Amino acid sequence: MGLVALPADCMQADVATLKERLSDLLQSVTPITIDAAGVQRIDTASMQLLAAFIRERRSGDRAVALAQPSAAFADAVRLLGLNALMAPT
Amino acid sequence: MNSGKQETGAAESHQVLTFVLGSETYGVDILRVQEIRGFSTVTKIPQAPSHVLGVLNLRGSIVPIVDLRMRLALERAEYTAVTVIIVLSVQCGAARRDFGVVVDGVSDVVDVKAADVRAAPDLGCTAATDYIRGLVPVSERMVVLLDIDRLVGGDIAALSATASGEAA
Amino acid sequence: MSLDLTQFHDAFFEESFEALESMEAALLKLDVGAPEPELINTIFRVAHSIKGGSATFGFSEIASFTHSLETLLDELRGNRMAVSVALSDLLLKSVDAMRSMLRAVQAKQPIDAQRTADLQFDLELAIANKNAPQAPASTPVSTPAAAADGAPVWKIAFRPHRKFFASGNDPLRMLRELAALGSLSVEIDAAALPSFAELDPHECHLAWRIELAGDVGEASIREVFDWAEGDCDLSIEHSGAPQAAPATAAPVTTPEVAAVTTPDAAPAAVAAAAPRAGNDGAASSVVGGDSGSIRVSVEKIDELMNTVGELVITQAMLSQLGTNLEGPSADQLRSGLAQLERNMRELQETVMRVRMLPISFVFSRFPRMVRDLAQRLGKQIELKLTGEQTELDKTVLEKIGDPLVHLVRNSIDHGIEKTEARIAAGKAAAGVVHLDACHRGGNIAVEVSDDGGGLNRDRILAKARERGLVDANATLTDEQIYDLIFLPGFSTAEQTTDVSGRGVGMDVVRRNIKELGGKIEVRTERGKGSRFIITLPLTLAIVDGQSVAVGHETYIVPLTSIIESLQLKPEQVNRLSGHGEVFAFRGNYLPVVRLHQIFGIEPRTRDLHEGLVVVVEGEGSRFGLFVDDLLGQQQVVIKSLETNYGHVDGVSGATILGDGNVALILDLGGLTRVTSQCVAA
Repeated sequence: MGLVALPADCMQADVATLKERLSDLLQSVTPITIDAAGVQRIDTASMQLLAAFIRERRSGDRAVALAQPSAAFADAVRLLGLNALMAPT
Repeated sequence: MNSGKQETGAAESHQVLTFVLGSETYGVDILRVQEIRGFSTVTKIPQAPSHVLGVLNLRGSIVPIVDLRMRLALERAEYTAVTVIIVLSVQCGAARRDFGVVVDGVSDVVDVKAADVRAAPDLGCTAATDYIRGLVPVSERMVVLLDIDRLVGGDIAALSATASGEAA
Repeated sequence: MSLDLTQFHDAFFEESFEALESMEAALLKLDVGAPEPELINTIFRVAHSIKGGSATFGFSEIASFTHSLETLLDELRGNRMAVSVALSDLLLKSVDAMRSMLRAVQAKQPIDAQRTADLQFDLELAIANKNAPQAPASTPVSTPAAAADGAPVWKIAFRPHRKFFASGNDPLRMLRELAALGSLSVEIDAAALPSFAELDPHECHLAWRIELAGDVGEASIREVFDWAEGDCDLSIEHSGAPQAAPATAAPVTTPEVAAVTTPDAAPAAVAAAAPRAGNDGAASSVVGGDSGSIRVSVEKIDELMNTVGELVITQAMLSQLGTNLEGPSADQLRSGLAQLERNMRELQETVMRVRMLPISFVFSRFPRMVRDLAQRLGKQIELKLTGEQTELDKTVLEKIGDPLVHLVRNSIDHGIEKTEARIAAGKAAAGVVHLDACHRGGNIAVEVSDDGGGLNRDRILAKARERGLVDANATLTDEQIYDLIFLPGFSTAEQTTDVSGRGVGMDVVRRNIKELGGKIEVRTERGKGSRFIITLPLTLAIVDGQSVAVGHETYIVPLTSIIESLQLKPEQVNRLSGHGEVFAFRGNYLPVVRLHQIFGIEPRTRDLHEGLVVVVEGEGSRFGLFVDDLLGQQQVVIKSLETNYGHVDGVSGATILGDGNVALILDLGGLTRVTSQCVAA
């Protein structure tokens, strides 16, 4: 089970590092969980990256889930209208 | 009749109920025999093949009765006071069904050793004899062992198809 | 020493499924505008108990999911979070998910982890966003949001250029500022987002369609985008006069509801209307178990029924033996036997009632189904449920569900018109689908009716002619035309939706109902609506029968199918080419069916006037059954012919008479089919 714990700062400055981390897991067959509990600051660039990652995992039928959204993370999902993309139900 | 111990699987010997039809003696696996009763009037079923005489009430179940002589294409005979119905549990496809076969009379339950069973002679028409499991000598007589699943079971399965088919 | 808990699993599953039903019922009853605390408590308790049970048994995925659910419900319960239609939908989805998970665990199959995780995330989002001015937008905004306070609505299209981030801009910040101006509905456009590998994370590939309802001027909106000028495409439109939401069921001033789009408002109407309508004596039995009842396994009940059936036969046999007895004690014996017969009837009726359950068990699945369907089709539907306490035999209950579902789907899909059409026709915007059940003359009558457009007689006739189901020249009564819809392969829906209308429906419905010993009729009026009336026998196992003699054989004719018995005079019988013998009866000519011919029996007499003709009805057609004699009337226990033998056309089963003999029970519908073959040949 691949676990990615997002750092407290997920801003554009850190987005290249985040991309590297996620790249390693893109093709992994084990289910990936992105733990958003620790996120305190996040911006559109990071959310965009996460959205692309999640979309690609899903289109390849590989399991990916977001869990424990912090208030900041939840706020970002809501405002950007990313709910349906990240957790289609 | 003595009921012996039950053998599991393809044992070296099993018990067979023998019965008489005309001058022939036949046998069926005792484990398949549900009951033996005297002949009584049977309720006819419309559009049934001629060897299916009809149905009887067997302790609350409706059981079809087959005249084995007709089924085996033997000479017909009158039903007498000693005519007997053997109620058998038959495998029809996936299900188990009960049938009664009319025979002239039952004989003994005998132990049959698998080693003694000989194959039925190939008379050229395999379809007609595929219900014969084999032949075994018992006290100077030859007992024809019947595979009732093939004899009655396949028959009846086709029957219900025909019954609806005929009327359609 | 660890305890083996597996023995308790079954009870846990059973209770959990029941609890989920009460949770679902409570959710459907929930008035989003004024949620009853008791209902929220019920829902909370369900989640809490399932969480506890699943944790105890080590079903960790269920426990984890239910934990999130419980947390959310606790927020609702403590009034730290408000109920909204979107939330109610989310909770209903959670009910579905929990059902799936329980079923999977029960069947030792894997749980759909992705679906569970996604839904759990939605729950967690909802909890995290509890203080936010709007519920997470889960459906794309397509129509103007209706603000409860009539404030203007702005449509904003915002597409940042690629280098947007480089100038230090963050769309998130802008959206946050917009959210402060009023109620926001956001739809993201991620079409331009490249694949992950190709994505340069410093470039912006997203765009948004935003609706802002609030008392703001365009200038304030433009101000939000001041810093972004030139780095994005921006259009701001005023979207016309806002309409008052048709759903007065949600008269809230909280911005949550204001942000809800119109398709959402319709379900609010359904959710509110349906439970209100269905509340009359409704499913309070659904909530939890009452004290004073026991769970009994179906096998035990079946055993009981069988034994009672045997008793009936034995008692009939004794009665028969008693009739001809002579001697000093004969009279006493006969009166004892008569008493026995009375006791038997009572016992029978009592045991029958043990197997009977209220039809509410079947009706209860409809509010949810109707709501989902109405949403999907964009129609407004009001569901009315009456007679839910009407009881039916458990087996009938289990098998009546699917036909009813199909009929209701049909009504909603093809019967009820779209809202505009209804209003144009002067009807109420919401179409009414009415499910009713009652006891009627020894039978159960279940009705599915709607106030939609009714059946199109001409279109049905045309389709039937097209498919060769009807002769081009044949004249048919309206009744006969409407009956055509029950033929296999028949469907006049212009477009088969995936909901219904694939043409396999109505004939299967009729067949299923026939198998239950019932029948279905349709009454319709163009423009006004349709009624589907299903009649079912009270029980499957026992039937009141008339014994008839044909030759030496005895047959049983179901009493409910008999119209009249008469003796015909020779001059009353005519021969009609292609129809055999016919006789006049109440203004119609009915065919004579010679049972002895069909069944190949030697009758006592072949002359019609020397025997009797029993006028019966089978599958909508009437005919006269020619028999030698009428014997008695009695209750007979239906025994299956198919268990050991097979199906015979014209015979629905067998029974054991008092004398121990077997008598066949006639299937009159089947006989009509056999007859038509005979006549044709």
